[in-house]
Amino acid sequence: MTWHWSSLSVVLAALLLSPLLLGIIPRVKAWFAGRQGQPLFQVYYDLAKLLGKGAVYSTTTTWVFRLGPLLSLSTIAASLLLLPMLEFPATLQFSGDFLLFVYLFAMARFFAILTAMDTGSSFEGMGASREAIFATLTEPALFLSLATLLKHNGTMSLSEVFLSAAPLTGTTMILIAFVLLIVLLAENCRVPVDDPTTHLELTMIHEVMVLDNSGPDLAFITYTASLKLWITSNILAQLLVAPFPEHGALLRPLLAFTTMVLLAMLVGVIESTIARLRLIYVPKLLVGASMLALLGFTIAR
Amino acid sequence: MEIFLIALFVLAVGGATALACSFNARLASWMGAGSAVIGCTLGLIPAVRSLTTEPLTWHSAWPLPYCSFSLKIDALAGFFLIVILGLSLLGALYGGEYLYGYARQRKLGTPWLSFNFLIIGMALTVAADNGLLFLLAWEVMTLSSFLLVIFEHEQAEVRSAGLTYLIAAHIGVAFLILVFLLLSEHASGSMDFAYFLQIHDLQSKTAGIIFFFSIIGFGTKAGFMPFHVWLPDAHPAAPSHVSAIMSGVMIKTGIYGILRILTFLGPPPPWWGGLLVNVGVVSGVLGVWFALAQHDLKRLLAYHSVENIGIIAMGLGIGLLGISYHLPTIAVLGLAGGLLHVMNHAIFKGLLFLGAGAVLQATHTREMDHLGGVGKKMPLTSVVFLIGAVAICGLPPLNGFISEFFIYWASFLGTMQFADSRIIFALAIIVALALIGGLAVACFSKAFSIVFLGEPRNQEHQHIHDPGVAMTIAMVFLAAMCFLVSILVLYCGLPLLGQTIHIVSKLELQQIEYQLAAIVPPLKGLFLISSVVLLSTTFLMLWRKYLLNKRQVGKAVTWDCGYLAPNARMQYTSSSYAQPLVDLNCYILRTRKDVQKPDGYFPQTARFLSHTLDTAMQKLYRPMFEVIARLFNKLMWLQHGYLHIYMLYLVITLLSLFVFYLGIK
Amino acid sequence: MYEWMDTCLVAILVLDLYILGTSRLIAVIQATIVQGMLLGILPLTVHSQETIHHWILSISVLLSNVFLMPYLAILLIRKVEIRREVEPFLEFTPSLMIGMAIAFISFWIAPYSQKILQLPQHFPRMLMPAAITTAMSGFIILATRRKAVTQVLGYLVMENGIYIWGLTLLDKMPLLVELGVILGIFMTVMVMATVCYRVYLRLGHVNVDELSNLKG
Repeated sequence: MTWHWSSLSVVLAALLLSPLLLGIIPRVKAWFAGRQGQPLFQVYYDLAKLLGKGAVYSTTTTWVFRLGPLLSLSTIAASLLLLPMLEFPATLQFSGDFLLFVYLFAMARFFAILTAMDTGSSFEGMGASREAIFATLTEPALFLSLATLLKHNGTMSLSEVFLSAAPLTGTTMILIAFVLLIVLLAENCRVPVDDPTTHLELTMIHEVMVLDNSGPDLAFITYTASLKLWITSNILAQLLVAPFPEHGALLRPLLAFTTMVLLAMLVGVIESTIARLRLIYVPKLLVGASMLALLGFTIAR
Repeated sequence: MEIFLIALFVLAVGGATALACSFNARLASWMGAGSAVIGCTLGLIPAVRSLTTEPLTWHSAWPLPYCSFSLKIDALAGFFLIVILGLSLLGALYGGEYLYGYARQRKLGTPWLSFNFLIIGMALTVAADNGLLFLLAWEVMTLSSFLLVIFEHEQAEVRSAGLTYLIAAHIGVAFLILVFLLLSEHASGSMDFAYFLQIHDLQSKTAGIIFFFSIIGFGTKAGFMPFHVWLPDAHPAAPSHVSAIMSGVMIKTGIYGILRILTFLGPPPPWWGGLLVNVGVVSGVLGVWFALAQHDLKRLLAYHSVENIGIIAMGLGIGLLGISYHLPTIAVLGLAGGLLHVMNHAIFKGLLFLGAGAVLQATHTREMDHLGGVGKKMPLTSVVFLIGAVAICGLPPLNGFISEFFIYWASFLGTMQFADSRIIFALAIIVALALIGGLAVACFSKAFSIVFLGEPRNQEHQHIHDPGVAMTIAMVFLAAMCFLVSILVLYCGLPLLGQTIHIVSKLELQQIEYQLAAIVPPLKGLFLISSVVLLSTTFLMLWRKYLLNKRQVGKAVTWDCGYLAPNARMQYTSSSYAQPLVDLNCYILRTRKDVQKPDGYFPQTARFLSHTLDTAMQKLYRPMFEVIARLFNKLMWLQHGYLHIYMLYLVITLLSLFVFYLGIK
Repeated sequence: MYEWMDTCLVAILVLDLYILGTSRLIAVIQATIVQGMLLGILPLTVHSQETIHHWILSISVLLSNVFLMPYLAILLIRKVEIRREVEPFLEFTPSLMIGMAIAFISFWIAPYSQKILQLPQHFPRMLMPAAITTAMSGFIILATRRKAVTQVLGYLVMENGIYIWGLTLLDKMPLLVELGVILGIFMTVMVMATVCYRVYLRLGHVNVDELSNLKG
């Protein structure tokens, strides 16, 4: 078990900057639609507004509903400690940390689902059910990508994968990056898996799960979503940046952060140009992602 | 060792006394539960001691041919004994109160007698040091649990479940008898395990046959797919504390059997591990998928046992592969994961069945779609059930995560260290565990939220309440264990598992100690992260409280899109929640749907029924047994109903056997 | 040394999976066009010094697989007004998984078959698996899809696989044979297309399973 105390500064940066990343996407979509778009810092304003409001709780709900958003946020925030970010090693590094990392995500999801189900509404039940199925199908893709990366570097720790001297390159890297992009879109409930701008019947997934949350709880949920986007895009960015030659201590983190911003913009572009898949086709996409990851694993040397 | 025998004696006498006290339900409960608690406590002493010291043995002659009353509690037996007796103790405590709820309807003597003998059977199975004694104990275990399965025998489905169980169990035993006969043939005709251990001249083909038969024989008890068919019927039928014991520990005797046979067979060839991995992957993934499709709470839990047995098989399988390829890290981690999951599954599955029992006792239904909102009336039960659910999904920081962590770790190492094509086993485990993880989250978020959250779907469930003291203690203790196992592994991991792994893998103890030490940093990391989560949750809670302190906090109904007359039956049900995932695997699950769509402008009736039967039962066993029945029907002419003709048959059989015997001589 | 070739072959493999997983016919055709282009490049990456042999092969493949056959297929789906494959005998996701399983197995058996065929040691690693997977994907499509148009495309994919396989024997096999194969497939596609169109004109659909109704 290794500590890297200096990486706490990156964790702090993640906590502060992640809403910015979430704010980029609507802006890009606005450009595509020919609009001015909301300010880049809109998510910060939203969070401040929500934190300043009172709350309404449904009479159906129990303590699960009140605990869920808190627990989801704190598990996702805690997973930041395990993740190498912006080319810095993770704050806490040990063999097998990737398993804990992935399962912390599962934990957050479990409580998000319970929170939604606690309201007794069938809308939220529908969202929760779909969240469960898509998460189930995303997980093999994620694990196979991780297996490829770990095998390539012969290590059991995330930090050594992303700060490796001989990073993954070539065809395999492209395949794995593509798979991780799909994982990113699925985990963050983005088009083509989910449409984050509506909660109508056809797209009832993530937005509908939080219909009954209000005030600080909704702020926590929004903030959790921004952290998730930060984490997933960070993983992908580090994979993409890794093959670039060494450029000094400050340049590489900057490069990684720029890639993350570009990824957020890419998500915006995808949302503007691609239609959301019909629900029955989403499993096909996710299974396809797993298959590609398996192919990546097979051809990796 | 004497303490162990005394424990068995206490159990037997207590059971008999309970039977004698049948006339008074309270007395029978006290005698049965009390003796079981005392017996299990006594039995735990030698079990714990055996983990660190030399094996405890007991030997006395027995007039039966091939048989001797030899007992031996080594670390392998001790580990399983701890699990068995520990859960049985809590089960007895719980059962004392739970069964008393049936006092008005039936006598409680027989159930307690069978319960105590079930414990005796399991303990003797694990402690037996002789093949025949093992089989006898196995039979005691089967028959007593059969009696408990048909507890509510006036219901036709319970009777059929019991019959399925009895037949399946005995088909399994047939293979076990073959296994022991084959072994004794190579051990100079003796059935003693001590002789089995000295077998050296076993050909690889014979060893393979023995291993394969023991997979079928023990796998039937353990619930490997496709031998699991009895399990989803029998477990729900039994009283809940018995379900907990059957599901939590009785099926583990199958795992114990496989491990014990492995110690006799010498170094395993790779295909054994591969077979176990395959069996594990199939049982694991399909088990949880079938579980997802169920709407009977206890049946769902029963299918989850199939899944968890699959996880155990995966762990043992990758461990065996590690032994075959001389990769000690993988061997130790895989076996440790499998063994630990044996214990963990006993804890959380026991807990879940006990929780389901509490709900069943309060509401008198196992049908999830008739429940709902139970959490408000039974807060304690809902909390412990939630803990069990989190544990069985393998989510950190509870015990399920730790054993899956071991198995994952062994498999990821396997992807790096196995030669070319063997990687597929490691990959299969990773993909299967990832899928199982996701499906289990789906399944238990469904089970917990449909039963405990939302609004009651049935108005009669307004006056239910948490169970009494004894049941509560049992559940709370198991829930606490879900948290404590990780600490146990961190500080007593080696004494708990080291000797056991040594017996199975025959690796050096120092080697095992060295490999097991690798688990310490991740466990410490797990503790640290868990405490960070705990601290930040507390902080957020206090912060929210501060924020909401002087603001308006409203109460309202759940947002219903402006609909005027919502009612509780409009909530998402368990089948609607599971439908997308179930349909994804429609080839294998074969869910039957009975739909009557609403028709016209003012539809009068509409209904939707979905039912997922066991595909192995419907497509494999049912046709097979129908063919067998048809064949035997052709022998009906032998049956007349006249006693003297039957006597004639007997004489003819005896005579022909005699002639046959002479012919051989 | 074989880096470009391996990249091409991985791309071909990915396209196989895409073809197996998609229901839109136009997407399948587009994928076969891209696959055809990659196949065209492939002979040029085999050896360091290209011979006229390679160029002829490359150009003929580009002509037939990138232009002629897809053009025919597009013409056909316009004529018979089909846009997507519906209710195949084997659903798309399972066929995708089977395709991947075949790829996985072919990676496994490739070293053995190289030994049996006495191919050189430093042989492009991806060639054999890509060949087997592509041919088998074509076969899966041929065997499990309902529309005759899709089956035509299945033939095309299968031929692509055989062609990759043929590359391993490029030095030994006369060019004429290879060209003959391509021509044969081309003829098949044309005949099938004509038959399909005729059947469509007559019956109003091109579902192969209902062709049995035509029996006397």
